[in-house]
Amino acid sequence: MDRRKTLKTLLGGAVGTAIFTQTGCRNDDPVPASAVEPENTGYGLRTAWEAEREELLRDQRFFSDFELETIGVLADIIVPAGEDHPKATDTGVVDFIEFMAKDQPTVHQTRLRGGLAWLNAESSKRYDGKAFIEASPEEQIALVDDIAYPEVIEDEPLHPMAPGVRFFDHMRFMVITGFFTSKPGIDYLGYVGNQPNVWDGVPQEVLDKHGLAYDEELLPKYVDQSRRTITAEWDDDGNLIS
Amino acid sequence: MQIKKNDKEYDVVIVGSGAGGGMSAKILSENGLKVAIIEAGPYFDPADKDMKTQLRWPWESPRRGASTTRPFGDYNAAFGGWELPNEPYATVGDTRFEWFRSRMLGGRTNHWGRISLRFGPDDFHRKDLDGLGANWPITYEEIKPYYDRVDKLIGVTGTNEGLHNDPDGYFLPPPKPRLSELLYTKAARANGVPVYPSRMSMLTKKLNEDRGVCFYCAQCSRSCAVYADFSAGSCLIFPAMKHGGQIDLLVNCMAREVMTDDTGKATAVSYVSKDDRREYEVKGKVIVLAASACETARLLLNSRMKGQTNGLGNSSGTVGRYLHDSTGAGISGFIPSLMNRTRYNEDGMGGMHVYSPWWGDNKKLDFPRGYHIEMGGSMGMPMYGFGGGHKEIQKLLNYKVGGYGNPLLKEMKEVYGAYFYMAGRGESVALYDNYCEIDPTGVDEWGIPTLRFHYKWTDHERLQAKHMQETFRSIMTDMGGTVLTPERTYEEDYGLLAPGAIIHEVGTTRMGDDPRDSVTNKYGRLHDVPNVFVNDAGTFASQADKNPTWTILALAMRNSEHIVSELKKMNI
Repeated sequence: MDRRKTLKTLLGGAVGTAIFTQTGCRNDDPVPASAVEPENTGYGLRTAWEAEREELLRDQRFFSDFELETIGVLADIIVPAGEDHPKATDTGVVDFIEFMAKDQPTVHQTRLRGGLAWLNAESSKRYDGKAFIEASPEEQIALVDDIAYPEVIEDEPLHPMAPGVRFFDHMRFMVITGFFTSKPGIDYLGYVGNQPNVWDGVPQEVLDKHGLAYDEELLPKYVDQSRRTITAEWDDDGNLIS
Repeated sequence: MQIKKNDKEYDVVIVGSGAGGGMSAKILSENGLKVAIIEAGPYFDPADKDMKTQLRWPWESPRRGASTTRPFGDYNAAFGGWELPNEPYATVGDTRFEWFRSRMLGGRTNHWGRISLRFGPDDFHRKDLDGLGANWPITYEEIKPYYDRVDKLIGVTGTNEGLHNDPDGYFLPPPKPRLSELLYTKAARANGVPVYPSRMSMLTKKLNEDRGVCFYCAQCSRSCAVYADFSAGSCLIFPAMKHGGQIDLLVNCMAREVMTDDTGKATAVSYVSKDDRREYEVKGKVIVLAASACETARLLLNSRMKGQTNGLGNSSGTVGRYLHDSTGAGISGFIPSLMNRTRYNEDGMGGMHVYSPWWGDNKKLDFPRGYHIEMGGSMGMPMYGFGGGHKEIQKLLNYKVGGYGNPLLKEMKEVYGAYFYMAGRGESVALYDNYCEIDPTGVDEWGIPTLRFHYKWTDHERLQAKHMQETFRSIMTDMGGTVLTPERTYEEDYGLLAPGAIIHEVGTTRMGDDPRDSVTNKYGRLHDVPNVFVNDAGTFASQADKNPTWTILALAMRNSEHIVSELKKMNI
């Protein structure tokens, strides 16, 4: 059903057909078809204000190619490919950082751009005028090792590496959050939700592992998932009888 | 039908389509009345494929779900937030007040926590018990039948426990607790804090033909596409229309004033259409205000009856007064025994599967009124911000702080699902001096004078928050956890959030028997105007340590049936 038609039908007050039809589902698992049908593009209704704002952002460009390339190199140092996951640049992290710089400019723009500039200045100083991306992988790692651990500036806020440490801290957050919110990142993490299912408690082996058990007295009160499709009825005292 | 302008006179014009407006529309239309609803935001139906955010993944959003434009994240169903573009409000002096507005069909019911607690017998006459605030003009016994009907009509999980001030009801069976909730149950009980299955308005079992059954995605804040959680549009307004109710929706229409005639009766509501920015009005025999406590107060204060200037229904001078929100404070912690968790889908129902109602005896404590505890911690879906607290965990585990590469990723994988939080939601005491009023210098983009707020917490609330902090720290420790939240001092209000932050604001048009110190009678009817009713939380004389929605629904049902009966008797 196209959206306009849906709207028209609903606004006309004639919602004749149940939109939440449950046909075609297994009896014990009444997840309506509408919950699992393929999605449209986009990511859910935006207000007019949000939509206009986003269009504007999409038309802008913040980082230069050189900056984006540097972000990519750093991102793959923070999240390199592993046995069970791809490297950060293969998970959309660079696009995400470019978008966030425009989406939350005061949070990200100067911090990231300034940090990249600092990084290139430091690299140039150390490695004979080379920008960070022109340095060898070993040189890059040597520099990163000097800014990846905040303890060096803990007692010395004016430590020469301080701008680099603060920059790397922010970059690490962006790359890590970007990676774990990508599909490969979620697969790596092992999150297995976000899908219709029937929750029936913690698996027994997990309860055992943690030395926990469900209260025997409460067990009969919890939902009996085999009866979830039977319409609820109560007696006059509020006892569920169906 | 969507309309902008017509000469039709409705039986009832309702302002607002949230819990109060939705229930009013359902009851009034079922009784054959012709109803118009004025809603300041757009039409919204979570079942519509283009609107729905449920089951979307973080990578579908360019900001990975960040809260740039929506305070609770990109997929949250609230069209609004603490700030709305070009619809400002102000605070006076050192007031901190945060006002959450959601402009859309169904209002804030689309994203709320669905914690559905009926008030208990004590909650209707607290003044008798501790001498503070005001009693309600009604008792629990009077409203109980309506709570019972709301339970059966909308559905709420829970168990009958025979608790005095957290009464039994008609409950749907609750889901089994999650792992961390079992740990909490054990530790809380060891601290003398009771734990029961949570009372939430999700359908764990089929309720009727109009609604689907919960499929445990934990995303009720996105508004359920199969209507398995309670949202006013999905569960009240749509079914009422589907079953023949004569309801016209005036969406994107911002109410400006309640119009009155020379005899002092209301005749219509004037509004501006956000689509064409033109002025309209819609006539009604009865006007029901359900725009939320503060918006309803604003609307009344901006309306004028002939011969007076301080707002409609305000002869008592109490419109906007006695504004109060729930108290809120919480802690978060890390539980090492939950590291390296076995992976399984523990999304569950949206929010907590167990809760702790207030257990204390205030006679033995240094503050009045209580709070309930909400809590949680699970292997949830990563969103923007994931990993942001990892350095704290590294410190706690004596790992080298910072780093990069696969060892860092491995660490994050190990600690996933080992966080836990507890939050108190308590009752504050309503005060005359906590209030909203029209800001003489403010106007929004629709030309409607805006509100400014005066609000200060007192030691009643601060000491309650102190008790929360101490209780939560003790429970977290007994769970084997380490508290991550710094300890807050008296000067920091013991971690109390700003008033308004819990989004339970009530009391601005409170009900009472005496027209000199209340705005409405016990049916929500303005003392000053015979045909204007308030069916939102503005009428609450006190808030209780419960969430307000179930009481809004019960009162709106009761008030609406009173309207039907009064119309039949030709009393309005």
